[in-house]
Amino acid sequence: MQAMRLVAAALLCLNASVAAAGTLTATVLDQKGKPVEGAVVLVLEAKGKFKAPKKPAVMDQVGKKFVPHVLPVLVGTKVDFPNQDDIHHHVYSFSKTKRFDLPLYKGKPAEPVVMDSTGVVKLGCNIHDWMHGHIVVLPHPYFAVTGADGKASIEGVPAGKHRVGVWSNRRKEDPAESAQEAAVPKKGAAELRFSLKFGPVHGQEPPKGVGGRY
Amino acid sequence: VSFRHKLLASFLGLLCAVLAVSLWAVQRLETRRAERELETGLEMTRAGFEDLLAAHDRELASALKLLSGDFAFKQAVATRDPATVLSAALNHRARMGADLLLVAGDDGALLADTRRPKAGRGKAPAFVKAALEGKAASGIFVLDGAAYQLAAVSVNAPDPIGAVAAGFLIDDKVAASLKRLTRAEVSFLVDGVVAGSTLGTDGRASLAGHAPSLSGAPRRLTLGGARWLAAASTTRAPVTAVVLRSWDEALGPLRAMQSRLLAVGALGLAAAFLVGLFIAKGLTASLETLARAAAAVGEGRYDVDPRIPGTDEIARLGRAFAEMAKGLLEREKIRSILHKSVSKEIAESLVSQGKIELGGEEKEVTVLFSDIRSFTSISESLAPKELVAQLNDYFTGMARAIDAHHGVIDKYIGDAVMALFGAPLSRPDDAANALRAALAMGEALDRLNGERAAKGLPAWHFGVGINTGPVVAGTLGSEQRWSYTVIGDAVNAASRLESATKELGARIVVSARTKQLAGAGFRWKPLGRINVKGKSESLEVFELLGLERGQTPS
Repeated sequence: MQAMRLVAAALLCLNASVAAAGTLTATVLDQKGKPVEGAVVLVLEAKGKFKAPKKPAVMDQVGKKFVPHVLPVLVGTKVDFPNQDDIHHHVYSFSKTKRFDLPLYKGKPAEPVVMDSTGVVKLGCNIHDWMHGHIVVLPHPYFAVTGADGKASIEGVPAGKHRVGVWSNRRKEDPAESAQEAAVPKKGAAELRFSLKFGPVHGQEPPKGVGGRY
Repeated sequence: VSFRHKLLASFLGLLCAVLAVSLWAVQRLETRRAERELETGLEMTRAGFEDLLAAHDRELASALKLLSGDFAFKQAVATRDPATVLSAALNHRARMGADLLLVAGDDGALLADTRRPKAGRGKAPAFVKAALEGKAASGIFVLDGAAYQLAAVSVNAPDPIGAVAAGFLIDDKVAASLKRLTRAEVSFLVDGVVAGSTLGTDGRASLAGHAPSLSGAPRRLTLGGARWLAAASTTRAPVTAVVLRSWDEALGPLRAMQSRLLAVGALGLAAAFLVGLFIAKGLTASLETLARAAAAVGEGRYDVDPRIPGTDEIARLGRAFAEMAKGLLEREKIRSILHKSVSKEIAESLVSQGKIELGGEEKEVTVLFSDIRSFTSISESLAPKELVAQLNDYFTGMARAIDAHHGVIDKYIGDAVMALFGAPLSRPDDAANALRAALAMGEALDRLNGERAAKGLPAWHFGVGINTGPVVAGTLGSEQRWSYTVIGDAVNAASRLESATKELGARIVVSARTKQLAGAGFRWKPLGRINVKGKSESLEVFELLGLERGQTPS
C-alpha cells in the first residue's frame, strides 16, 4: 500500500506541470455497508500520454500468497515477482492481457515481466492452487487501491469532471457500470462514495480438511 | 358298491388328499421362498447399480480433479486452439479410460468433444456451464440419445478458464458387467428407450412398453415368453435401471420337487392300491366265508368250520364261529338222541346244561309206578308181535296221560311204567300232578278196554303206586351209555305200593306223604298201614278214589 502511494505521488509529480490537479478520494462499501479492501478506484477516461515508470512494480510471494493481492499498474510497467518464501513458486498467467510463465524459481527472477497491454492479468502458482493475484493494467495513472478502511485516494487528478469507477476481483461487472461523476477541484479533494454489490471474499488460504475420502 | 370297493376307495382317496395337500404346501412355501430370494437378488442388483455409479462418480471426480490441475492441460486449454485442446482431450480420455471427454472455454463454447473430433465448435452442454460457475456437476445425461454418467469440473488458472467433463457410456457392457456380478438381467432405459441391456432384441422391445409400471415394489411380468420378477431403480434420473430375475429359474427347484413328489405319490398310490386290494380281498374273503358258514348253520348244517388264518379279529371271529357251530352241533346231537330216548323235560334240562354229566342231585320227587295185572299170563297167550302191538297201544295212552300232567317217564320195565314228578324240574304241585296223572291213566285204560272189547279182546287191569320222598336224581351209567333216573328208598316204596294194589284190592295206592303234599281236591279211602322192604316203620297208605266234586281232572 505504501508502494502504491509512492507510485501515485511520482505520477503526480510527472503531471504537475500539465495542469492544475486535485485529489480524488473514494470510499468503497459493499452491500452490507462494510468497507471493501483491495478494490481499485479508477478514473474511466483520461486524455494524454503517460510514460510508464522505470522502476518495476513488485508482486511479492510471501507465505504462499501473492502480496499485494491486487496490483494496479500503468501500461508498460515492469513487474518483478520476488519470491520471499524458502520454497519454489511457479508463477503464471494465462490471461489474454499478459501470458507468461515463470517456471519454478527461488528468489528474484532475472527479468521482470512487462505489462504491455491493458486489462487484467490473473496470476496463479502452478504448485499452489490456492494462490491467486491480480494485476490490473491501466492506460493512465489515475487509480488507487482501497485500504482496510475501504478508502482510496488518487492524487494529481486534473481538475474537472471525471467519471470514476471501481474494479474488483469480487465483481464481474465492468467498472463503467459503477461509474460516478466527480468534479475534481484545482486544489483540494473531491469525495466519492461507492456502495456496490460484491461477491464473497476470495482469499488465498490453503484448503483444509483434505483427505479421508477412502 | 361292495365293501371291498368302499375300503379301497377310501384308502386311495385319503392318500390322494394327503398328496394334494403336501403338493399345495410345498408349492406355497417354495413360491414364497423363491419370491423372497428373487427380491433379495433384485435389491442386490439395484444396490450394485447404485454402487457402480457411485464408484464411477468418485473415479470421475478424482480423475477430473487431477486433470484440471494439470499445468500442461491448463496451458492447452488456455490456447483455445481447437486442434490442440482436442488432442489433449483425446490423450487424457485414454489415460482415464473414459468414454467421453468434453472441454469448454470460459465463455461456454465447446472446445473439444472426443466423440466428434471433426465437428465444429458449438455450445457446451448446460451441465458443463454449471461447472464453470463452480457448481457441482455430475449425473447421468443423455447426449444424442446415448446415456452417459458424466462429471464436470472447471479448469482454474487460478480462476476458471474453462471446464472439462468426462464420462462413461451406460450401455450393454455396463449391463453385462452388472449381470456378471449379480446374475440378474439388467436394462437401462432413458426416456423410454433402451440404452443398454442384457436382454435379446425381443426382450428389449417389450421391456420399453413395461417401463412406466415398474417403479415401486418388485412385480411379475412376462417378457419374450419368459416370466420374470422385475424391479426398477429410478434414483438416477433420467436413467431407469430395470432389473429382472428369472421366475422360471427360481422355481426350478420347486418344479423338480413337485415332479419328485408326484412320482413318489404315484408309486405310493400304486402300492396302496395293491396293499389295499390285498387287505380288502383278505377281509372280504374272510367275511364271505363267515357268511357262507352262517347260511349253512341257518340251514341246519352244523358241520362248518370257517377256517380263517391269522390272529386278527376276523380270524378270532372265525374260530368263535366254528366253536359256536360245534356247540350247536353237539346240542343238536344230544337233543336228537334225548328226545327219542328220554322225556322232553329231561332232554331240555340236560341240553340246557350244555353237556351230559354223570351224577345227580338230591331232591324230593313223587314217583309213580304202574303195572298190568296178570301180565305173565297175558304175555303167554299172545304172540310176541301181537303183544308188542297191544303193549304199545297201552303205553301210548299211559304216556299221554303222564305227559299231560307234567310227568316224566323214567323208563318202561316190561309192562311197567316208572314216571317222575319233580325231576328233573320241580313244580310246586308235583304231588297233585302225579295223582291227576294216575286218574287220567285209569281213564285212559278204561277207554282202551272199551276199544279192546269192541275188538273182542279181554280187558286189562292195572295197579298204580305213588310215593313222595327224597331221592337222588341224575344221569347214571357210563359216558357211552347212560340214563336219567332216580334212586332212593322213596322209589322202592312207590314200587312196593304198586305191588300192594293187588292184595289191597285198590287201583291207585298213595302214600300219606304224597296225599299230604297234594292237598285238598281228592277223594280218599284209608287203607291202613303196610310194611315196606328195608323199612322198619310201616307206611300209611290211601286209595285214591277220584277228584272231589267240582274239581276238573286236569
